[in-house]
Amino acid sequence: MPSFARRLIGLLLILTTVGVTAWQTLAVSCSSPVAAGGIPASASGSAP
Amino acid sequence: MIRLWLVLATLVAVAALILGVRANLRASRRSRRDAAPRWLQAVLLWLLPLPVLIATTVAMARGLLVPLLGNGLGYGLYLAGAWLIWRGLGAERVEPGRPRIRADWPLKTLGGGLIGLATGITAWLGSGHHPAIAAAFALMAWLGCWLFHGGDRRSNAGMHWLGRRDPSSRARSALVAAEQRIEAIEQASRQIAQPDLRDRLDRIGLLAREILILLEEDPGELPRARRVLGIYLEGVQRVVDRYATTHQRAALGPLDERFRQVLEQIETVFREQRDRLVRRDVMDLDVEIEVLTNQLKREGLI
Repeated sequence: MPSFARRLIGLLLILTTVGVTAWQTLAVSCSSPVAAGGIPASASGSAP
Repeated sequence: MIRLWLVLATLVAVAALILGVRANLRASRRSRRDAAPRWLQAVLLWLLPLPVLIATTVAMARGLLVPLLGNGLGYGLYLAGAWLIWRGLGAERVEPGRPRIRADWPLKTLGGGLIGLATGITAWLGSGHHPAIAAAFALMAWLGCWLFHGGDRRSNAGMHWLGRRDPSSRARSALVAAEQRIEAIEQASRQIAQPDLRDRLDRIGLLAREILILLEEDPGELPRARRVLGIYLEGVQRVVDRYATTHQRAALGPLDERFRQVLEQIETVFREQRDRLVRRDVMDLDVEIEVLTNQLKREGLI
């Protein structure tokens, strides 16, 4: 495999695995329904 | 919110890809030996996992224990892997005109493994993927590192593996000793005022390093070539030391000329030695060793 193609595939793999995992983890952390103290938001009394 | 993050991540990835490919094309045109550009390696190693650090902070602020542990461990492993790969790239980076002996440990492979592990742990505990999916992420990340940064150029001449020295570790020690001697010569030559003499010493150092690289690739020639390197490098070091000492005492004249002649001869022999190693022709090395030894004895240098 030519060196350029090998590096391009490697770059794509790193971006799609490390990049996606990192941003997805951040998104999951931000949108998690659990509030501070480990109490789910639905059980904290704000929801009916 | 998630969609916004994903769109942002995609934009960053595409921008990095375009810039990287452009820089890569330029780099491959500039030099065949140059690997990927240093800034792109730095971005991939140090900046790409940065959202994991932010996610760790967010998880801590929100009191999420499992994501906190997963993201914290993952980010630590990312940093450790990046450091190993960075060191591995630095060890084999060829400075202009100054080749170096390769690293003992497969730093890039180990670093790639850590980055794969970090990706798997982050995907499992941070993103909440199934362990099998997380393992697939880990495998792909490791493969990506291996393809992008390349494998380690391992030395055949004496390899340390898990703390054990293999039978050719003596060869490795000889190469390392020769490299240290070359560095000492280069350091001493910087203090010499005569530009022509300094240039000649630089050329000798460069040739000696090229010989070391060739010997590392073909350690079969090492036993004989080691004698040449030992005698010649010792000779050069003595010339430099003697020159520095005598130059402080008085203006040289005929002595200056003798130093020049000896260095000229050593440069010629080093060049021939290098060419022979390239051609794999070492038949008359012994004769040459004898000639040079006599010459250095005549000059009172050994």
